[in-house]
Amino acid sequence: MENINVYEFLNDRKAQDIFAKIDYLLRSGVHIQREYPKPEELFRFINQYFKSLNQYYLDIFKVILSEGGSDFNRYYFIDFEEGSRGNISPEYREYLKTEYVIIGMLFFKLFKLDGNLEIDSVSGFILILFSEYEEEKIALQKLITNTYTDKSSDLNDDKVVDIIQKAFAKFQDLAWIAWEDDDRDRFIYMPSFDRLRLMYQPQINGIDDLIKQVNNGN
Amino acid sequence: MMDGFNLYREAKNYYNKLIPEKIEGLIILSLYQKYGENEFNEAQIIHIIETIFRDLGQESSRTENERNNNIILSLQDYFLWRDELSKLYHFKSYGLDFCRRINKRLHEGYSPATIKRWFDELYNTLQNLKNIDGGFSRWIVDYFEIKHTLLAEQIEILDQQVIESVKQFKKEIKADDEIKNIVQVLENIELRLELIKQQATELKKAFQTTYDIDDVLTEILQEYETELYLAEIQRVSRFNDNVRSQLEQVSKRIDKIKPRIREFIYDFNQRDFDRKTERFIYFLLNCSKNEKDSNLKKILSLPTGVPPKLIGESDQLPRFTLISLKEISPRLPIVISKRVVDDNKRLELVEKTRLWLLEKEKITYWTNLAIQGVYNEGMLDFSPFFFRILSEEKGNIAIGVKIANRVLKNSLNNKDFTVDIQQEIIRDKSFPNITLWKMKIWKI
Repeated sequence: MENINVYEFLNDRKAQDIFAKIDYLLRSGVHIQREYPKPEELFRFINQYFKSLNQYYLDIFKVILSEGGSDFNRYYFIDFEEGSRGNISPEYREYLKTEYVIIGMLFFKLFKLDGNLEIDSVSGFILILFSEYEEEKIALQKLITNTYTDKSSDLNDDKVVDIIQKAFAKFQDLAWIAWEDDDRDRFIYMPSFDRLRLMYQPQINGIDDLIKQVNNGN
Repeated sequence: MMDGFNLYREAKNYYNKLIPEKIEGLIILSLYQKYGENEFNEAQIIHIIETIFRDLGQESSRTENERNNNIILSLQDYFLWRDELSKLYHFKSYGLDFCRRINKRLHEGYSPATIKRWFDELYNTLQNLKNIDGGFSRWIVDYFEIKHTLLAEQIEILDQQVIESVKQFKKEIKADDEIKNIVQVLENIELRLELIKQQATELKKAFQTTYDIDDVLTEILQEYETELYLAEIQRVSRFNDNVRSQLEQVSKRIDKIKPRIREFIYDFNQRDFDRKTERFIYFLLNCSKNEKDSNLKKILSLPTGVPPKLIGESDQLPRFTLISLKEISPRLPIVISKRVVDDNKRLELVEKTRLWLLEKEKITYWTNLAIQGVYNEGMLDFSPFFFRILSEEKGNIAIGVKIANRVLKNSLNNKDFTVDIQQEIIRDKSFPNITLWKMKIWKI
């Protein structure tokens, strides 16, 4: 009978109202932090029952409920990578598209590393990328349009803009950003955006070796 | 201080001989390290002199022999003794003292066990002597005087070590990028500070006996009330106070420094990670590849060694697909529109295209002429050039503006050019309605 408290979160009366929602969000890949998605109760509930919820996901779905950030920047998410030895069959696995990884990292660079803190919209990001980061923009354009030219054209620009907009829509789905209004342009940066970089932490730390390997391969 | 002897006045005259300059001092210490109290000959001294000059990066000169000779002569004033018969040298007692003291300070470091023993000895002898007539004075001379500098020195050594650690810390930070394992170095400094702090704590324990000594001193004060001892008692208790507070300071300083080092290591790790992140981003941009998947569909893949990341289970959750009635109801027949070719419209379009191409050619022609002009002449006065275009293009202002725009844009983007615009209005009598700023394009 000791095990009866394992899933203690279920005994909380609030669970009836919000657990289904939390479960749906988490398993859709959404990151849950204090500010978003609302209501804040979602975050507080996970925060309160983290251990017991973690056990629940591990036992039932063989996936890992993880936490990232610290204190005020804390966020929760299901780490499908860690749990991939578990119960998900390959055809259902959803990977973050290469284009989105690259665009996300580029945005992270402009916003966080280079301190363009005024960026608060997708169009703002595109404007700065196109006007101040020519080299990066052209590299991205080459990848997206699968061409080798350094020249730009309206058509190619449109393709790049289109993919960037789709990427941010995906970031919104993951709750790495939160749209500020209905036009899906202005957004608020969420603490969980950092997850993108942390997912690739081992590769970032070993970047010198990666570059060497690729160079030797050629 | 003592019977008319003025240390300052006396020392002023002999200072340079008593306290050697850096190079000479190092020669003396090096000799001491190698030969100690044993004898050595002049060739051996010269060998050491030359090794040290080389080590300090001083070039050899033609006057080397003379230099060596001068050094050997001056060292004989206080440090070395030369046996005229055997022509061998050994240290004078002042020289030995000098070297031993430095050796002790630098090498032996500290030993809490010894200190504890010394204090216990001080305490015990004081206990024994306090009841004897004149015992306290004897204690001061025979025990306290001898030991107290040695004890103070121990704390100074610890303090010195903290200072050295901080110095090294600053040095390492400045070296920044050049030192790859800087985090390791900083962690070592942190570790060393931790060790020093432990030592300070141990020393504090060893110094506990000072409280006992203080107690005895109070006792003496109360029991004997002798004016004679008052000054000495005050001196001892002041000394005790000092050592205790100095030790406290060492610990406090370490407590203040440590979090800053932590913070720096954290920042550095973060900065290092940021720098690597940047490189990673360029790696993604430059090494991702367009490939075809199993269905021959074009997909963009991350570079070798960078795996795609799972972010969800796409269809694990129940989803409702909404289908509008329109999509499943039978389709209404669609009227097929007939295509009619409008020849006039086609001709119009062809003419439009021709004009457009012509305009494009003209813009390219004039722009090249302008740019070439700057390269050839070193400068182009753009204002008359603009009116020349207008007159040759029969006053077509639209084309003139487009050309001006193109020329200005190209010149501003050209690293070899500089554009000089003055707020001075230029007119041309053929085009009275048009004015523009005075503008010149220079080749740098």
